Amino acid sequence: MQEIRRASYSGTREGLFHYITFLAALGLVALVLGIFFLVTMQAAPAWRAFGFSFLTTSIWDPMHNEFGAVPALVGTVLTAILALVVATPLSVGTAIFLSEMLPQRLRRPLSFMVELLAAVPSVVYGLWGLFVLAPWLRTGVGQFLTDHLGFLPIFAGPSLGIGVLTSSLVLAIMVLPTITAISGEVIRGVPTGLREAMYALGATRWEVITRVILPTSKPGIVGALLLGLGRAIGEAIAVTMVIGNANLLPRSLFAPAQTMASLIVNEFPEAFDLHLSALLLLAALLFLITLAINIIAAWFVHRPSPDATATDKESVWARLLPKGGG
Amino acid sequence: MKKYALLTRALAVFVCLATLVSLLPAMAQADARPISIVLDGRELRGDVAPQIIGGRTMIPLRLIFEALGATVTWDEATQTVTGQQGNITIILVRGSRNATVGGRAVTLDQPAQIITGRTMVPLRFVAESLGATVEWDEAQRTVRVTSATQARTRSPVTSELRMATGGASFPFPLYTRLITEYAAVTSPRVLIEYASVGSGAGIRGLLARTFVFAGSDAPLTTEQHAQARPNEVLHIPVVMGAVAVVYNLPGVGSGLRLTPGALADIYLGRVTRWNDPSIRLLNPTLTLPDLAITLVRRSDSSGTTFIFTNYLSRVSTQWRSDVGEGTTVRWPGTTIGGAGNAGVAAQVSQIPGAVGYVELAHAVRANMSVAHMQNRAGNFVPPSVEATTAAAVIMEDASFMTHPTNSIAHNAYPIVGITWMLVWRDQDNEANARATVDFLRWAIIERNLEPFATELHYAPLPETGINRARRLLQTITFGGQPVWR
Amino acid sequence: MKNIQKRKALGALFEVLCVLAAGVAIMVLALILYYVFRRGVAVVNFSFLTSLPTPVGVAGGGIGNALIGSLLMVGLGALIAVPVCIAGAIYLDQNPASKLAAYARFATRVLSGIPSMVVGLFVFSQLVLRTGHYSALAGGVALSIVMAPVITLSAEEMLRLVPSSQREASMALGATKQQTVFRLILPGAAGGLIVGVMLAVALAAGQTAPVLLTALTSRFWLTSLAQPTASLPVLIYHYATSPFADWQAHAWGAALVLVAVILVLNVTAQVLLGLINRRR
Repeated sequence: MQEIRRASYSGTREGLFHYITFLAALGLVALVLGIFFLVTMQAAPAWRAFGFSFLTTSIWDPMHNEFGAVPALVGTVLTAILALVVATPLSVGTAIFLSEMLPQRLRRPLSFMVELLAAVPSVVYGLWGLFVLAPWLRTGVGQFLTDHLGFLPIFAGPSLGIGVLTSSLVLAIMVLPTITAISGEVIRGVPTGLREAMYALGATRWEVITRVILPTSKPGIVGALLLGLGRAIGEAIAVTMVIGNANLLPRSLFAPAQTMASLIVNEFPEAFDLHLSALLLLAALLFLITLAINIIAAWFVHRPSPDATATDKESVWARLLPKGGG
Repeated sequence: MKKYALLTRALAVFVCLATLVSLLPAMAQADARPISIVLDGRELRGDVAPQIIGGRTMIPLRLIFEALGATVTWDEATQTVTGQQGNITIILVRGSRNATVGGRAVTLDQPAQIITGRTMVPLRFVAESLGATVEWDEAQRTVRVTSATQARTRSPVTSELRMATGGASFPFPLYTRLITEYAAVTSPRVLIEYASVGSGAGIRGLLARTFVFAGSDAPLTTEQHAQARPNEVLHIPVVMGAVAVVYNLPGVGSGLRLTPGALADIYLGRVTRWNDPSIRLLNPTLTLPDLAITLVRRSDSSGTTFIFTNYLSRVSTQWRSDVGEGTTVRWPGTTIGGAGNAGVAAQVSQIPGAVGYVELAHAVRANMSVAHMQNRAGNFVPPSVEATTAAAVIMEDASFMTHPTNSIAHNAYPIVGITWMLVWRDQDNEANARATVDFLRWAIIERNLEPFATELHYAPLPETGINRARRLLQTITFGGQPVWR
Repeated sequence: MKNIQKRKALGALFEVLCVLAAGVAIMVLALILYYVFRRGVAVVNFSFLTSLPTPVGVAGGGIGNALIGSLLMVGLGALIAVPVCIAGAIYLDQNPASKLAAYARFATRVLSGIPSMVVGLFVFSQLVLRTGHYSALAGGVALSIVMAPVITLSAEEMLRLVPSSQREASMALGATKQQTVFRLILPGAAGGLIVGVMLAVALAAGQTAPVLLTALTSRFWLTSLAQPTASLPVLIYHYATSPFADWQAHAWGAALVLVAVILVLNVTAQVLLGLINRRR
C-alpha cells in the first residue's frame, strides 16, 4: 500500500517536473514567435505601401514618405563581402598557424587570446575605427590609392577616411576572431590518422595542409565564413560610426554608404508612422537574412564528420563565444 | 593535457593581474589630487589652492567672501579681516582663534593665516556664518558650498520624486546641468532623468506617457496633435540655438559672407566651386581658392537639419518645392553625411573645400571658420548668442511654435531655432504636475538657466518668449485646477 | 631533386604567409586593446568608479551609478534567464527527439540571430509601454532575452556530455527521471553550466540598444528596481557622441572598465572549462 502511494506521489512530482521543463521550452518558442509577430505587425504598413518596390527602388526620402532600400541593401552586401575577402585569408591563415604549426603548449593560450577578442563589445571596435583607423586610412593608404589609382572608378577619391573601405575593414577585424576560432576547431577535428599517413608518405607540411586538411575541413570552414558573414551583416553600432551614412549607391571604395542596420540606428530615434514602419521592415529583412545565413552555416558546421565526438565540446564553445553588443 | 591547462590558468591570472596592476597607479593618484571647491555647482578657483590644515579646509579670504557676495576689508594695522554681507558682519584676526559673527564671539579650530603670501580663512566657518551650507565629498575631494540664496528653498512635492523624461539631444548638456542644480535646490528632492534619445523618440515617449515631459527641437505634426486629443501638448520654449555655416577654405578664416540665395544655390548643387562669381562678388576682399565645394550634412535625423532646411525653405522657393524641411531630407546632389554635430564638424575640418552646418557650440569649440549670413534687413551677421536671442525679439509667430528663422530684426542671425519642452495641458499625476511646473518655472521664468545656457552657447529667450512660457505654464491643470500657484 | 627543393620552397613560402596572417591578425587585435587601455587608464581611478556623473563643465564625476546599474540589470537578467533556460535545456536533453525540442532548438538559434535592437523594441512595447515606466526591471528582462540563446544552447551541450552509461545506471538503480536530473546530470554538468552563464553575462554586459530602450538612463543613484537606471554601454554611447572633451574621456574610461569586466569573465569561464576538462 505504502509502496504504491509513494510511487504515485513521485509520479505526480515527476509529472510536475516534466511540465515545468516543458513550459520552459515552450516559453522559448513563444518568445521568438512573439518577437517575430511584433516586428512583422509593425513592418506591415510599409510592406502594404511599397511591396516589392521597397526592394527595387533606391530613393529613401522620409519627408515625402518614399522608401526604397536598394542603397542600404547594396551597402550591406558590399561591406560584408569585402569584410570576408579581407578576413578569410587572415583568419584561415591564423587558424592554420595556430593549429598546425604551433607546438601544442603554445596553441591553446594563443588561440584563447584570439577567441577572447570576439567578446569585445562592438561599440569599442567602432570607437577604434573612428578615432584610429579612419584618420590613418584617410591620409595614408587612402591618399595613396586615390592619388595613383584614382582613374579606376573603385578607387575614385576623395579619400574621406570613412566610407565603404573603412567599415569593411572594421567588420573584417570584428569577424576575424569568430572565423579563426571555428575554423581552428574544424581543422583540429581532421583525424590524426589521415595526417600521419600523409607524413609517412613523405609529404611536406604544406602538402598535408593543402591536400588533406583543407579539403577535409572545407565544409566547416565555409560554415565559419558564413557565420562571420551573418555577424557582419547584422552589425549596427560599429558600422554606423565609420560608414559615412549616405543613402546613396557607393561608387567607390572611399564613398560614404549605408547599411540596413546603420540606417535603422541613424533614423530610428526620429522616425514616425510610415517611416518607422519602413525601418522595421528593414529590421524584419535583416532578421530573415541573418536567420537564413545562420541556418545554412549551422548546417555546414554541424555536418557529421568521422571524428565528431572528439571535438564536440570545444567546437561548441567556439560557436557560442559571445558577439559584442550592439 | 595538464600542461596546457596550467598554461591557460597562468595566462588568465596574468591577464587579471595586469589589469589590476595597471589600475593601481591611477588609484594611488586619487588622494594626491588637490581639493576643489564647488559653489552652487561652479568650481571656485583662486591663485592659491585650498589646503587642509588640522582637518579644516582653508581658502583664500577674498575668494570665498566675494563669491558669497560679501564685501571684505583688510586692516593692516590690527591684522583684522572684516567681511560684510547684508546685516551680517564677520571679524577675523590673523593668527587668532577668536572671531566675531554679528557681534557674537566664536572660537575657531584654525585661525586665519598666511599661506604662500595669501591670507587663508576657514571655509566652513565663513560660509556657514553667511548662511551657506557646506558638504565634504570624500570620493571627489570636493567641498560643495550651497549659498543661502541657492539653498533648498523649493518644495513642490511632499516626498522625494523621480520623473523620467527625454528627447532632443541638442539641449541635453544644458538639461543635465539644470536637473542636477534643480535637485540641489528642492527639498524633498525632485530627481529628473533626461535621456538623450532624439526629438522623435521624445514625442513618442510623451504620447505613450512613458515620459512625464519631453524635449523636442521640432513641433508636433498635425497627426501627432490629433493623437493627443482631447488633451493638448503644450510647446514651452526653453532656449534658442544658432546653426552655424562652417567651411574649410585654406587661407580663408571666419567671415566669408553669404546671402540666403548663395547658400541655397550651394546646397542645391547649382554653385559647385568656391571661386564661383556669385561668391566672389559677395567677398571682394577674400582670395577664394579654385576648389570644388563638398557638401556635408547630418546623417542622423536631427533638429539641426530641421532648422537648417526650414531656413532654406523660407528663403528659396526652389528648395521648398524640391526638398522641403524636415529632420531628415532627401538632399539634392552629392553630400557626405556625418553622424551628429561632431561628425559634421570632423568631416568639414578634414576635407578642404567642405561646407557644413553645425550648432554654434560645436563651431566655437572646434574653432571652425563660420560664415556671416545676410539677414532679412541686409546685414551680414556672425552667429552668436546675442544675435540668436535678437532673432526672437520680434516674432512674427507670437506663439513661439515655429523656429524664428530669417528674422526681420536688423541685428538677428537668420538660422536659429527654439528648443521646446512638451508638456500635457491636463496632467494625470499631481506630484508630477507640481514638479514639472515648478522645474520649468525655476529654469525659464526665474531665469536660473541663463548662466548655464550662455556658458554652453545656448541663447536665452527674449522677454517675450519668457512671457509666452509663463502663460503656457499657467494653463497647466491637474483635476481641473491650475497647478501654477 | 629539383622537385623536392621546389616543394620545400613552396612549403616555406606557405608557412611564412600563415605566420604573417597570424601576426597581422594578432597585432591588429592587440592594437585595439592597447588604445582602449591607453585612453581609458588616464581617467579611471577610485573616485571615477564610485561617483555620480557630473554635468558638462563641472569637474570630477564618474560612472558609479552606471556600474551599479549594469551589474544589477545583468544580474537580474541572469536570475530570470538561468532557471528558465536550464529548465528548457533539461527538456531538450530529456526529450531530444520530440517535436517541441526541435522547435525550441530552432527558436533558440533564431533568437541568437535577432538584432539586439529588436529585442529592446519588443520589451519596450510589452513592458515599458504597458507599465508606463522605464525601469531597471525592464532592462533586466531585455538582457535575459539576450542571454537566453547562449545559456540554452550551452546548457544543452553540457547536459548531453553526461555519459548515457551513468544515466542508465542511475535509472537502473530505481531513481526517477527527476532524481537522475537533480542528483546526477545537473551536478555532473554544473561547471559547464556556470561557464555558459558567464559567457552570457559577458555578452549582456556589452549591450547598448536593448538597455537604452528599456532602462533609459539616469544621473542619480538607483534606489528601486522600478526606476530608470544608468548603465555602462549607454553611458559610453551618450558620452562618445557628445562634443565635450571631458565626456569623451569618460567614455574611454567606461569602455576600459567594461572591456576589463568582460575579459575577466571570459578568462574565468575558460579557466573553469579547463579545470572541468582536466577532471574528466
